[in-house]
Amino acid sequence: MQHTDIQLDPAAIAALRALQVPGRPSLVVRVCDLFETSTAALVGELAQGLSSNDLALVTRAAHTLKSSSANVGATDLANHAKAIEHCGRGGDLAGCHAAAAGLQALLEATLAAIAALRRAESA
Amino acid sequence: MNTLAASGAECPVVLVVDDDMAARLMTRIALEEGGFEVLEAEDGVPALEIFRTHKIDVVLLDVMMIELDGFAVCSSIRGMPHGEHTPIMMMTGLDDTASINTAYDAGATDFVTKPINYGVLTHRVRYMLRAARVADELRRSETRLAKAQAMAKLGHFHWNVDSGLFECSSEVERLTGARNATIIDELSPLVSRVHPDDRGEIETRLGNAIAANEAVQISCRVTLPQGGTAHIHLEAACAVEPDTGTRVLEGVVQDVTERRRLEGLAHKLAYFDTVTGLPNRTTLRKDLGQAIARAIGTEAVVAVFSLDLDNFKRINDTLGRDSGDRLLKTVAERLTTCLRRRDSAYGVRADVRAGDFVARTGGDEFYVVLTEFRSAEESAVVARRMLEAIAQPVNLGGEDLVLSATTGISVYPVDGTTPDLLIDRADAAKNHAKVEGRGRYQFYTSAINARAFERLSMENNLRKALQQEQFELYYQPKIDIRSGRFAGAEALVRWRHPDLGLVSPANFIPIAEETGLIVPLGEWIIRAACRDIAQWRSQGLSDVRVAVNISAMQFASAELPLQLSAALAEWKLPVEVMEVELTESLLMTDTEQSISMLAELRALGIDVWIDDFGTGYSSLAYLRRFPIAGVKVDQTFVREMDTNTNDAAIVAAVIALARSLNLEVVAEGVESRLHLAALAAQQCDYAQGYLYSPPLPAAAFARWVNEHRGPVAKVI
Repeated sequence: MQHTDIQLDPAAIAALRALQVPGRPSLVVRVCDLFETSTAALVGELAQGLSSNDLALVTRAAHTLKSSSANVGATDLANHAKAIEHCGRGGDLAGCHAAAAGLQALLEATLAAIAALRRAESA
Repeated sequence: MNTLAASGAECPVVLVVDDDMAARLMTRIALEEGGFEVLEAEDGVPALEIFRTHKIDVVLLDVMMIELDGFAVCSSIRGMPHGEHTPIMMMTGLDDTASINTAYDAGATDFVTKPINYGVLTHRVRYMLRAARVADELRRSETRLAKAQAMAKLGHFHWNVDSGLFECSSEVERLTGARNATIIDELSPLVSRVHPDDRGEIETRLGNAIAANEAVQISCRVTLPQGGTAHIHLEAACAVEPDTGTRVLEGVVQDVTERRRLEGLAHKLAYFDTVTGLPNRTTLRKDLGQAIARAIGTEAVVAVFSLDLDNFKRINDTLGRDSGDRLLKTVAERLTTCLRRRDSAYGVRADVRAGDFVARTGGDEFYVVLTEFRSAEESAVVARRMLEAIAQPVNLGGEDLVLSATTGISVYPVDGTTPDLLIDRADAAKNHAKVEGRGRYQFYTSAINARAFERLSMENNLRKALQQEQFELYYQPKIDIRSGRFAGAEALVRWRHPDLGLVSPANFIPIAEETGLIVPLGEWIIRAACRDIAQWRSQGLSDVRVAVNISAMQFASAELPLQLSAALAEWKLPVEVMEVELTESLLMTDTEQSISMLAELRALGIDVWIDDFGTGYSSLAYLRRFPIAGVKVDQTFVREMDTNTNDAAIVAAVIALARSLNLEVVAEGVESRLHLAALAAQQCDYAQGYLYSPPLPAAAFARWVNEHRGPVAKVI
């Protein structure tokens, strides 16, 4: 799957901009930073959970990834995480493995979109 | 965005619990913009710690956390102090309905779905906070109301008469036994505990209020299931509810038992004597007024008895107030019993007449009001009965005490037609009876009225006499029978009124005793005697010894020895010039006190004589214990001793008795040589009387003493 042209949800970005307090550091930039930091950890946890068949770890990491992706309008990634979480809640480890396919590529594309957003925001 | 901070109040504090740092950041920014202060926790455990240590107004709580999930945090907060009513908003995924239900079950106030719409988040939080404050205020107000109602023992009820829905507070249930239920067409749940005597009337009045859509106020007694009676006050109003068109009886029920008790107590204090429980003066006048009102236009007469205990004050002073009070209670019971026995005394009816009562107006003053007499004479029977009842011995602390009482009677309508007049006239009759001799009853007569006026003016004149020194001392010599020589004198007080001339002591001494003027008069006598003695001594008359009479009130006062020594010192006189004379009845009224006073006088060096000996009831046993110099035989016996063998025998016996006790004897009223011869034969020591001299003014007395330096009159 190619995700070179990932689009972040403009409504989510608009919501962040709406929260921006004038004179304070850019909220969009800070959220982008937080997303990058937390996502690296979450993806690590998710990978560890899948490799060790730890369903609880998989489900929780997927749930958190879903929320943090939604914060930045990364709708595709959020949906993907949601699918994994769903399988996890259903006790379907195999489903989790299946749903996790392609996650890495989607993640990279999303991070690229986030980086682009930050560049645009910082400019 | 609007800010809450504009209100000037402290910023509400929101605790945001979420393990997604970005979500916390955005939530914080949104809330801070909205005027909230934000505290953050990334997991359940630190969240609970922050809640415990900070004042948190709202909690925003993510469901999914690593250590302790949102549901557990929520229910933990609910169990914490101040956590019961704090608004908690759970943040859940929109797709997660199961979570939403679990959140409510865990005690969440509200929920918000992720992704969170930050634009409305602050409004949701603010709304939640306002609702919590309103609920909080309502709870406080309900608590206050409940407390106030509990304190006032007030309960309320609400009864939709048409639908039958009845709701009431616990106090109403406690008092009436009514409880939340459906009640149709009956009042019995409300009145089932009402005292049977009141129930019918109350059902009627409540029924009328409902029928006429009116208010009603009811006071009644209720019997409580645990026993005892409560007084309740019920206020209710029936009105048609505008929304439903149904009739609602709404009201309050208050437990006024304690108030009733206090009112009863206040009433009792205001209208009844606390010692005996009898009506006091206020009630006497009111009830007597009612008795008169009932008697108007009938043949019936109303009798008012004014009754005093003789010598009560002395009993109270010597035995103490507790004993005095017990005595008063006994008298009250005896008088009340006399009322009850009144009818059976005549063999007519054995019931108590409603208008009859006994009252106590203070001290030993009692009043008895008897109604429905047909003649005044009937009341004499009751008067005798009352005096007899009081004369029965009273046992006080193991000692039998015999009381007597004096009563005056006035009768409606002949003696007066108002309570005050009847009371005054019964008093006047009583005072008259006292003068005539205690332990009697006396009907009011117009002569008593005239006498009462006379006494009143006498009293005023006496006061003036004391201020203006209208009194004089006369002296009557005493002769030593064996030597025939002058041996001393008795000082006798005389009143020289500017208009009336010389007033007899028999006329003013009893009034002086009654009014207490005897005390200053007695003091004056002591000082005046000292003054005269000093005057005589300056003229060379150094051997005159004077006996002054001491009244009961003076003798009872601890100051007597001091008065005597002060007067002697003032005129620089030796103590031997002064003697005192006391009546035997005075000594016998309180023998122990008498003995100690006599000992004090003896210690001073003052001789004491018992005056009017033979007229009282001296007990020999006491006579032996009294440290006295001698006795004076009353002149009534001496005067008649040559014509009346009984009197002669008394004189002989008194002299013999005195000699056997080593006491000296003075015979008073010695008027003839025959008297003197008889007294000498019986070895009487001294004689006093007209045979030698009448009482003389100080100057004349001095001349008499000078002229009788030798033997005055010897037995032939």
